[in-house]
Amino acid sequence: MNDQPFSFTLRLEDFDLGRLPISADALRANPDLLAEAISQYYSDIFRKLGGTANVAVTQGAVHVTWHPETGAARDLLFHRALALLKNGNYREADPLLQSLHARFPDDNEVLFNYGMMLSDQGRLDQACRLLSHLVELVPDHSHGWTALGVALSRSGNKPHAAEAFQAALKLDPSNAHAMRNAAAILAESAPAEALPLFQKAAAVLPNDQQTLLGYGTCLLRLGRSDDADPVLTKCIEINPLSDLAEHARTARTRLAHASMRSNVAGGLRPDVVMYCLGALQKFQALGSAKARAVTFEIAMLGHNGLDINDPAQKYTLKSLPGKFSGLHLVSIMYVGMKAIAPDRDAGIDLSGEYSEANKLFDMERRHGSQ
Amino acid sequence: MNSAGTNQLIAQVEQTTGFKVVVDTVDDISEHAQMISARPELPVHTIRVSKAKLAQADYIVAAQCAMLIRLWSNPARIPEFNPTPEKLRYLADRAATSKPLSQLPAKLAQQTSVQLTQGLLNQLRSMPSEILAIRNCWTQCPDLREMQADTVETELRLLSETFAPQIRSFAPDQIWKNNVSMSSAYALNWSELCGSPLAMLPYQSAGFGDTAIKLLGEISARSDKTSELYMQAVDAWANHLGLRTLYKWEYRNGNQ
Repeated sequence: MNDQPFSFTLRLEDFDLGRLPISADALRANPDLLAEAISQYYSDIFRKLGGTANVAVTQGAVHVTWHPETGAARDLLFHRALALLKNGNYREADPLLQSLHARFPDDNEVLFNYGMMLSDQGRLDQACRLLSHLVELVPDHSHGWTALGVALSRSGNKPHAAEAFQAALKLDPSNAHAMRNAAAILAESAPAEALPLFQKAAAVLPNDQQTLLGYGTCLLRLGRSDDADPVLTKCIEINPLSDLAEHARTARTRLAHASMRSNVAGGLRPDVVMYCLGALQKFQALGSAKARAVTFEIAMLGHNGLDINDPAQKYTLKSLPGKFSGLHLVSIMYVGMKAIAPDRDAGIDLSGEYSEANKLFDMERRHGSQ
Repeated sequence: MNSAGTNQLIAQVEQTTGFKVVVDTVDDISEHAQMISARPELPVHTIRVSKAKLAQADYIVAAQCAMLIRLWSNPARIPEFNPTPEKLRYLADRAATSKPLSQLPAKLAQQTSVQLTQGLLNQLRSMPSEILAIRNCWTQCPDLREMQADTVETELRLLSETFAPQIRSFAPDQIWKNNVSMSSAYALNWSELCGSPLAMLPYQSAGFGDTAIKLLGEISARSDKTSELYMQAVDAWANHLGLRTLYKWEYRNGNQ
């Protein structure tokens, strides 16, 4: 048994009740339950690490003493926390880093990793405090300045964030995270100046969603749609169900619509008129329930992005036989939406083509009935 | 999806039911996700993950798939839990005229009691299925344990709000007890899986430890992935809680 215990004390009011699987209101109403739950929480954490732990809640504070089986307690805890952070396991890393920070408030590594984790979790005041303290202690910590810049930027303090990124880049001109974040701020007012920073960052971080979104959006701002599209597509592919992918998807949709229109100098697209006419005829033959099924299926498929600028017939539906191009499916969906929920935004404006198709459809019906 | 386990469960749903799974996102819902299982008018299973829960999307989708697999184990006979309106109304009326709701204005008391009784039946319908899905995901998707813990513990926090004085004081006694009984089984299930008594503490201290063991035992006895056993588990819980007459099972054919 190691004879160097790791001890710390934390005021109960500094304990985040959101870490417990019990309602905060229920805990506040029952002090015994609160003490028991916090005590159990720390017992569980240190039990997993081996050795022995004593946890006591007295006088409004929790007191923890941990005797590891072997090795230095600080290093064991810190490396465990890092491994958890690496796996994205913030919920288990958080109490370890908080414990380390309570015991070693000037530890650079703890300040950096705990500060970044708090920033990622949106606990920005605390993150800014810790990271500011870090760069005071170690002014040449380039990654520390970057992390501080990110936390400041997330807090909405863009001017100070930009200064922090500049400080990071001055210390280490190859710091790609600082480049990416500095570029993101710069892109809002001067996209042409931001672009080279994004290009360099994307070369170093080719699979970083945030870099790709910033880079793609910057290219769009500069009117370079053809270059932007593959960058945004890659951004989506990396993690399709993420906020960043949602932003990239929205940008791509806008881009696709603009591109579709530019092919006919902003006028009507005859192919879309024909697709809409075909859909009107098909839906009349199928009846409203089937038409609804087809429309919803396309809408669902479309969520992952239909490529409306590729003429290849690469899509199939379960509710309708045949192979379709992206633009064909979007046209069918548009007609369906007009019948089912005419007030709802179909996500694309085909009103001109739809109106033209309707005229043709009415004409056909009149001829048919004569 | 990013998780191998989630993709495996999606493939299993598609194989079992014959319909594709489409994952979508949705704004402004209070739940983690909405699930619309395939019907003639929409021949795909749609899982709509709350945009507020995208960080847990892989787990949420996996859990919804685990529930679908069980419900659709026989696609020609998919069970539907239908509350019996007149029985439900009777229970709601009784709750509205007893303390503490009777102290509210009559209309508000009636609305609140209807909401509470409907909530109770919803909990009865969904909680056994959720417990089974949590167990399935624990085994099949070990890579999602952190997301699972986040999701389940958020749910546990919400469930234990019933111990907060402001909620306890306005809930009719029988409804409160039934609600806490079911939640205690959910908490015990999680305590057993993660090896910590933490989630069970409020239920133990309120005297629901034995109830939790009894109700969870009914689930453990019927953990096979069939809709028949899921219905039996719901019925067993309903018998324990005195709710068996409040609903009936009906079936639909998923192939039509």
